[in-house]
Amino acid sequence: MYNRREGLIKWLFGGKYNLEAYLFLLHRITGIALALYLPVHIIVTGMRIFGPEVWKATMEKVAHSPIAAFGEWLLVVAVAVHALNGMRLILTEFGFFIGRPSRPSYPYTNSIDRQRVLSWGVMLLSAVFIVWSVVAFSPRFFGH
Amino acid sequence: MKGGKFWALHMLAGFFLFFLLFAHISLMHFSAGAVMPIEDPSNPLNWVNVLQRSKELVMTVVYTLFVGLGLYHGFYGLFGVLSEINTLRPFRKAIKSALIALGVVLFAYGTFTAWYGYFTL
Repeated sequence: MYNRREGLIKWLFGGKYNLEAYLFLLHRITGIALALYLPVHIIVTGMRIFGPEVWKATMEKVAHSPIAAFGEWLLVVAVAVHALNGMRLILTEFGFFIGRPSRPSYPYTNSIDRQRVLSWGVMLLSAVFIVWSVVAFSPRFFGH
Repeated sequence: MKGGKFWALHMLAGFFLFFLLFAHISLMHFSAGAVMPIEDPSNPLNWVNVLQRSKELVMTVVYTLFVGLGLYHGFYGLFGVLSEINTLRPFRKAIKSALIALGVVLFAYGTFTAWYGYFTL
């Protein structure tokens, strides 16, 4: 019987994971990171109401260094992976890419196999985005 | 509203955030000036650009939507994750209350700063 108290541990040690389970794990990790970052982002961007001096001083602290650029890149990647996988989840939630219900006749198929193409599509798009983002951010990684 | 409706709202917010976030990334992180003309394309965070965006009604409305949708989607998701740590009702209730309070405060602050920028800066 499934023990919900094991929820957190089972994210990481859930036995033999398939591709979708790894995407679930990735979705959670990026989601938690983004949810924790959001309040900080709202507070920092709100600093503009205090005028140009305060804004400039704040940006000097949080945005103008190679480390900040790396953090920003991680954030952009997390957003892209979370958003693309989230769109996959919305599509499958509404019944797309999982096929119609049918009689279980041999050779057996299941909805996981049918939606696998979508999972690979998400991974491919994420990979393209990550490569593109590395190219776009690389000058800032080196302080230019 | 029952749980299913909150879940549906969570998905709906996620759907809209998908488009808003890619527009945000294009505008702020990748190709400043390519998506929308800006005063100083060297850095979208420079004060002149911030001022330009703050004075635009469309951007102010988008900021308000962004804050609301982002907070709802993020905190609802966080509540779901935290609920798995401990399923006891008092814990869930405390977490829910804390996230709602924090969400309302942040939404008020985010909305205030967006519209303050539009009317006053």
